[in-house]
Amino acid sequence: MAVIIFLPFLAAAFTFLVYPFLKEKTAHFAALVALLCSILILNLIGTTGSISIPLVSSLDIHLRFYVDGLSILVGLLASGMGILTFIYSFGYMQTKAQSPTYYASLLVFMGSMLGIVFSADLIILFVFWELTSLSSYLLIGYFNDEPSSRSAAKKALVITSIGGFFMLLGFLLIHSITGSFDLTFLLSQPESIQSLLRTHGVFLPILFAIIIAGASKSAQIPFHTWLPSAMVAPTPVSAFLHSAAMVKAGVYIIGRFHPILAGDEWSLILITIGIATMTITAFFAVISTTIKELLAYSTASHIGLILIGFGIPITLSGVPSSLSFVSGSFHLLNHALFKAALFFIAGIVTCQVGVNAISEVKGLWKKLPLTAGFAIFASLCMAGIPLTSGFYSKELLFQGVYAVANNYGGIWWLLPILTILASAFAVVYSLRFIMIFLGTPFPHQQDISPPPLSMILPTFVLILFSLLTIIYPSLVIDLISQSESLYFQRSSILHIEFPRHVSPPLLMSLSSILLGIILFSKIEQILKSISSILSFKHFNIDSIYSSTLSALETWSSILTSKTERILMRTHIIWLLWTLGTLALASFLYSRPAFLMIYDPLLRFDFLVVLLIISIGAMAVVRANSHIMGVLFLSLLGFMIAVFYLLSNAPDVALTQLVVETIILVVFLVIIGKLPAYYGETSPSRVIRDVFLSLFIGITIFFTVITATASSASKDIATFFIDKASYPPISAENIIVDYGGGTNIVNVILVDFRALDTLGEISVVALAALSILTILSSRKPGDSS
Amino acid sequence: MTTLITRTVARIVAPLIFVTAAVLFIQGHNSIGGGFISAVLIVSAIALLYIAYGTSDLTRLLNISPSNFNRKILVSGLLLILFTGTIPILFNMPFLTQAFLILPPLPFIGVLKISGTIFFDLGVLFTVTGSLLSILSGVSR
Repeated sequence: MAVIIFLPFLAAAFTFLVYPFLKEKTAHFAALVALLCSILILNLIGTTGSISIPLVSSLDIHLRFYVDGLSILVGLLASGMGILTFIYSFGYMQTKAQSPTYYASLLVFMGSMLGIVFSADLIILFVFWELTSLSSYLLIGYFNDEPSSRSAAKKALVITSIGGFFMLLGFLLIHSITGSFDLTFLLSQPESIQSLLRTHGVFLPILFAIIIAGASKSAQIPFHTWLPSAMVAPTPVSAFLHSAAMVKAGVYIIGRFHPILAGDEWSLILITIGIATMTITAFFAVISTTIKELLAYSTASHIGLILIGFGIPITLSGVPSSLSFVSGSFHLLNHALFKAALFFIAGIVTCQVGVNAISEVKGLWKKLPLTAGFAIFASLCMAGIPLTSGFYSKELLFQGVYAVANNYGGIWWLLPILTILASAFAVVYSLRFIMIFLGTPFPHQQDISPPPLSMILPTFVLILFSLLTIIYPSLVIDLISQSESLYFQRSSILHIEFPRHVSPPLLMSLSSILLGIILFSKIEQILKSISSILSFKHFNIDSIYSSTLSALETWSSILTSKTERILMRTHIIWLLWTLGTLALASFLYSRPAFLMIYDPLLRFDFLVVLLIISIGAMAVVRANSHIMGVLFLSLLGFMIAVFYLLSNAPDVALTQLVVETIILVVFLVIIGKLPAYYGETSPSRVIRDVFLSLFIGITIFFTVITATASSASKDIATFFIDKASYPPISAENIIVDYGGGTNIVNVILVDFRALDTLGEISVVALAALSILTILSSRKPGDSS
Repeated sequence: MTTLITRTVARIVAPLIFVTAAVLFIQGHNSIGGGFISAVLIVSAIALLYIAYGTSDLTRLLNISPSNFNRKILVSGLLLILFTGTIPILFNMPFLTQAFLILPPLPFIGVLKISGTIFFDLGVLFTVTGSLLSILSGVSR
């Protein structure tokens, strides 16, 4: 189980090793990894359950994994689309700048996607969630020579991180009330968890947080703006991230929390967001100018439809309805299949024809007959024409929407009307997509070579799967219902078949198709009139985003110039005063026990060391050059090492000795670049410094005596002494419980407290990197 | 700074420090030593060589770009810990669980044990060496 998630990450690390040998064939290596993951997931079909591996037991963070129908569905989607994307990349990247980073980030993305889908611990889920944001940042900005790529990558990162922040907030709220990060536990009794959250008054905040997280990842209004910008990414990335995986992570998280959070507020918010996004972005898709922009907006629109599906109340007029979960999940799969195929086709068109704009290309069917066939089929699915996969899932959603309107009445009738409108728009943009393949070709587009097999094959496989869901829709439905019935403890198998009698949903489908065709016949006039009267592309979320960002940049630079234009020593003085005051205030507040050891038999050698230290300290103050000061300072350090040695701590003494040496070297190197003598010091500055040092001395004194007073319990010491070394008797050769070392301190460092040590050396590494950054950002001659 | 005496001393002392660092690293589990201290020792030896021979000479001699190389050492140390720490998870044990293996008695050497912590300590060594070397070469530039 854990293997499935770690495999892509391990493979990502190996990418850099195999790339020099495989070159562009690295795509095949990555595809193989994805295939392995898919096989492992296929193995899980029909199983539900969870496993748990403690990670940081003291913080209740476990590596918990959870398997059910929804996670298998999205997991298969991610890994299966991964295979196809890597195969497609082989063909697509032939003409582009190659780098192992591309394959590595795609693999990391796939791994984190599987991590989101299968993890049952909220903290682990959050970590993987952020990992998808980071890897998609690398992938969107892959062509990092172009400013548009960089700004699009930044936009996606900023917007999805806002969502991630809200998600963490929601998770922490959940934990503060229920005391658990365990999704398995939360999902085992959704109703009681919901009522618990409601009684504590945190239900609505959590609801908002989770929905904002999902909406930002899924590019829903008002967060939709990153998706069209992200189209600067390589097309396989768009197909993978922006149709099948990344945007579906948002939908997944909403589907995952559906059982816990579903209610009136849930339905209201989701349906509002969904309907707004679906209608508005569908309209944007109709008027968009490039092929990928059309696909991006239509993706946002379809996900809006899926969210409406998840928002349909689970009980309508007292009758439980399983429409909500199943229709949403079913459309999720169908959409991924046809939209990824369309992205692949768009990639073929841009690669083989070399144009992006919709108006500059038509009549490709003669040169690319196979691609044209696939494109027409996939577009018909997107439009929801009867007998295609899109039709079935839309039919379910129409049914749900109609039921909602019928149940609540009044303003809710807007819902089916807007759905019909958005579906009509879907028909229009699908027809626009088809039109680039039909008609007579432009005369200058004659020399078009057929796409390589590696690009046409993945498209074919997607079309094949779409056909499969048309012929056996129940296959998918069963898989989803398996998880759904688990939550609601009732068997609800929906049957999908072609409608044989006239029903409201069928009428909705037909009327939307009819309206779409009528609109399409007038498309030229519509586009012309829109472009003449509306320049509203300037007034949209995009401009709000960019103006907010630039305002933040301006403010922070103003703030920095106000606060940072002072000397380094002023910074340090304020830092030390604050630190000391806070420490002493905390001692005053908590009044801890002090421990003053008065030993009448103070050892003579200690006294000698103390004397040398005092003399050295005074010499540091009196030193009249940097070199003398530093040398006396290191005398102090070496004396402290002697003190450690005398107190039977040779380990610490040795460390202190060597570290002191290194510090001395670094100091001497820096001093070489400074003026040789101190300037004149004013009396006021001397007084200020004396008071500060006295204050810090007092703080340290109290800190030491309180720290020595609070000794840890004896149990820990005996535990370490017992366990650090060898077990008394052991039959086994491999021993896990014991440390196997006689240097207890070191065994604690590398074994019992290894996580702390990892944290410490990470801090060391970060400090080194920040010092490097500061040093390299200094301009020559900069004195501060 | 680079007199003949300094160079000669450095040439003799630096290898001795390297050997000492290796000994301290290996014996770290049972007596004085460990990854951190041998890292600092290694850095001090390299600092000695820098002082004696100058950074540019040493760079030409070893044919490496120091800042890049140092950062690679740093990152590889952290990655080593992450990867070896993940292995126990595959056996359903917590992240960073350590184990040791007692080998059957060997002729002339006797009973040996190998502890998994050696990888962790090696990671510490790499990270600390890389960090300190980066700082050193950063400030001396």
